[in-house]
Amino acid sequence: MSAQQQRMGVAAWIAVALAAAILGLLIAAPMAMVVGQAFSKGLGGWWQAVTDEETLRALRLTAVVALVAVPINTLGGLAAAWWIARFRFPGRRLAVALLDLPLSVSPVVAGLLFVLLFGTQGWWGQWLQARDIKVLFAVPGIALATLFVTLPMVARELLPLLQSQGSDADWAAVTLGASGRQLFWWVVFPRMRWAVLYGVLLTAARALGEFGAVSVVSGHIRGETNTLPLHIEVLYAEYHSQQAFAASSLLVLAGLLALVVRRVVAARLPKGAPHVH
Amino acid sequence: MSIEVSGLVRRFGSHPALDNVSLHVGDGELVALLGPSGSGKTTLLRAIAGLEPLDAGRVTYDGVDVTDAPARMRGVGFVFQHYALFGHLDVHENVAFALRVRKRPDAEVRARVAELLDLVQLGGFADRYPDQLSGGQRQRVALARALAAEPRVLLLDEPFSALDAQVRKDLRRWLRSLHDRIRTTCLFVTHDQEEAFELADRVVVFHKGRIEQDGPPRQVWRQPSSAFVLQFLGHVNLMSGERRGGQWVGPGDLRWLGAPQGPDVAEGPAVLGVRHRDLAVRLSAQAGPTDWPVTVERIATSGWRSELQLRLTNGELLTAEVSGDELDELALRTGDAAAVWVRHGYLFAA
Amino acid sequence: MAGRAKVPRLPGLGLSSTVTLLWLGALALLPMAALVIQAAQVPLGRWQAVLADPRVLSALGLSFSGALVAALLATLAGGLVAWVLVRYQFAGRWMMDAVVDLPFALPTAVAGIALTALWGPDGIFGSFCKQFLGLDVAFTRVGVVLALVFVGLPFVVRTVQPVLADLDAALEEAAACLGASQLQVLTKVLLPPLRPALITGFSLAFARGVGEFGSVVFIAGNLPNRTEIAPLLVVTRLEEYDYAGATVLATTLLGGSLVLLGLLTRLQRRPGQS
Repeated sequence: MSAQQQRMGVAAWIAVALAAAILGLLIAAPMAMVVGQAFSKGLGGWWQAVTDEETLRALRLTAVVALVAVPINTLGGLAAAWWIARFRFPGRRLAVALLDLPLSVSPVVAGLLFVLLFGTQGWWGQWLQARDIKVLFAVPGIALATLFVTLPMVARELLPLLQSQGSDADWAAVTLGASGRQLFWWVVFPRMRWAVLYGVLLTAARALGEFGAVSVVSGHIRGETNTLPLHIEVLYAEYHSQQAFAASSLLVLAGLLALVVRRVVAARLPKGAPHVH
Repeated sequence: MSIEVSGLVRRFGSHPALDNVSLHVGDGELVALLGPSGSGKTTLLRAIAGLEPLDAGRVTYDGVDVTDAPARMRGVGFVFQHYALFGHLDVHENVAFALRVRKRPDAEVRARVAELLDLVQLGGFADRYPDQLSGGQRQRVALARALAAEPRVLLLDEPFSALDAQVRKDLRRWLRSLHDRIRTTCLFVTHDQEEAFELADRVVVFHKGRIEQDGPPRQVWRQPSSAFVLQFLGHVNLMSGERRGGQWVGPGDLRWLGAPQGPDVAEGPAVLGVRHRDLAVRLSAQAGPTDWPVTVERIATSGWRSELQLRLTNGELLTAEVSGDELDELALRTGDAAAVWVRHGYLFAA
Repeated sequence: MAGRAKVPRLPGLGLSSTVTLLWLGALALLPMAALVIQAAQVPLGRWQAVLADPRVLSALGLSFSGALVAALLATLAGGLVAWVLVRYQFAGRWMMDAVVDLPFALPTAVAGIALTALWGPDGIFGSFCKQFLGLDVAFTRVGVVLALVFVGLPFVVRTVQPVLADLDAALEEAAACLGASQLQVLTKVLLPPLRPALITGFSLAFARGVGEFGSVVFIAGNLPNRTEIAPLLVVTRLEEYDYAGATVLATTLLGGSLVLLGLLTRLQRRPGQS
């Protein structure tokens, strides 16, 4: 790496300055804006904003949704990664494509999918209405849309890792007499625990911050079906800028945590990776 | 434990990786599976361990059929080519793995691991992690790990291929002495004939999914059963011709009247094999009537021995190996004329 | 002697396949099937009517062209940033490297609001642009592209960076020794091996941009026929209980982006490229 680094000439400094300007204006500035505005009325103002009753309610709903989405998609992601990485079966490529699909679907369209399933004109809308079960414009709908949007995140961290690790260590454990359960808890999981943690945090951050998909299925009932991002939108539209950014700072914190963990994961990876010569 | 495999077939598509392979390995034997890559040797090793699906055939351990037994129930110790150590566990826990899996009491595990680490001369390395070890140390950890549960057979896939030449040699001798001590039935795969000959009681040579030859190292070396084996063992000139009237006749009316080293072949097309060191060189002036005249094309000297590239009158190129003293005596130079004769030759029906 | 032996395999096939099928089936396949089937049930005439609406055309046009332009800009800017991060050693490099990831940490709506606050008429950058360049950023198509570049940039940097880091600097030195000019080194030595990564980065930025909602709606202004993006129009149609209209629009949006992504993948796999 260091051999590639060249001595800096004028052109190099211009390139660095240009890159810094782009990143500064486009990316660092909005981040600074969020933090600056969140604390524009001091720590007290920030505390007041985040402990506002409606904000807390939105936060609680968001947390519930994340608590549903994260375990389900972690479990699914673990299973899918193991299945796809370690076995050959017909339709394997299809499974991979299906797994990646939610990434190419607009969040709004993701929301629409569940409207088509559960809306009054949807497949099961009439049936559910007749039994007075609320899915759309209620917590289950929000959870489903969030599940869809965050579906591949854990799997996409684990699948490439498992594939690059290869199956030799797994087979070694088997020849040493490990049962399926022992194999998973003693070898497979420990070797990818950091990637699992990163995937979980990524899923959580996205689940907490999801806006488009949730916006479609929530119904925007204040204090009931407004998640934190939706509540932030309301605050902003009502010119409560500082409160909006204070609430945002909570979501940003979750996102930053995921990024920090990824740095740690990246630094740790060589240890779990196979020693190929 | 003795191992018997019979009629093993394994196909990858239409290509047979194992083509009706049968083999018996006696209790306590140390057997080398030798062959070029893709010859089926690794597939056989994995089949014995239960890591490879089979299209036909049976595997028995001590007469008990284990063909359908899963790998984890077979009690084999398998050392993978790249060791497959558990990177998240230290050396101690790597070695202890098979015992932990069997839920042995902690004290027993400690004692056994300490004993094994002493055996592989890694006593002070218990709390290191695999990525803190050298290649040779990792190899020995892998071996200790495989030995922990007292396997009935030890299977090693290209055990030394990832190591430097010197480490490889040391480890080879060490493995031999280890085997002399523990006497566990042991099979290893290699493509390095020197390794196979130095280490094994018995060498099984593979070619295109079949066993080409099976015997003690000295026998395989002295009586290669086919032109393939002779060539695979290396440093050999192969010339096609035919067996006619008790002679071998090659292109350009090249003749060899000597008796072949191994069994003779019938009249008809025949390949003559002469090891480089069995092709004797002398000056043209001293040439006998049946010698082959040659021109010296190139002389490559590496220390105490030299290789001469010699052009026959029919255009073929031969290699002869001579000692430094011989070369000094001959005083040959590139472009000189000389003569060669075959000290020992092998004949194979073509 | 005959008899096909069991195929040895690692544990967990039954469990992992069952869980995966249930999970993917219920959460991905079923909803996608709902869209496809609902779209197929919309009569052809209705499709034509929806897609002939100038407002719809304008929204689709903005979403696709905006995403393409933004992906292109993100590729240029991201390529530059990746180059700077890999090839130069300077104070603050690690900070620059960390900043690249920030869009991943900002929820879309938060990013959208922050960008609007900065680039809107009252924002620091917005008022500057207005005063000195006579350029309105927020509530115009420029704002849409700006938000999409924000979203797409990290994808490009993070795909190009590792490939660039793996490129042997000796390649450039060899080319220079053989008498190549700096421009030739760039076009003949550096760009060919980087091309797949650049295309991947572009594709990711584009895919994300076409459907992007949260970070765009605030800065776009959402004027029908001018700055209204297709995802917003889907929302509008749903609010009007026009499921058919929303379905047609969503299918077109998704289908279009999948087709374009397929083309980009093909472009990436041209023979002779590793």
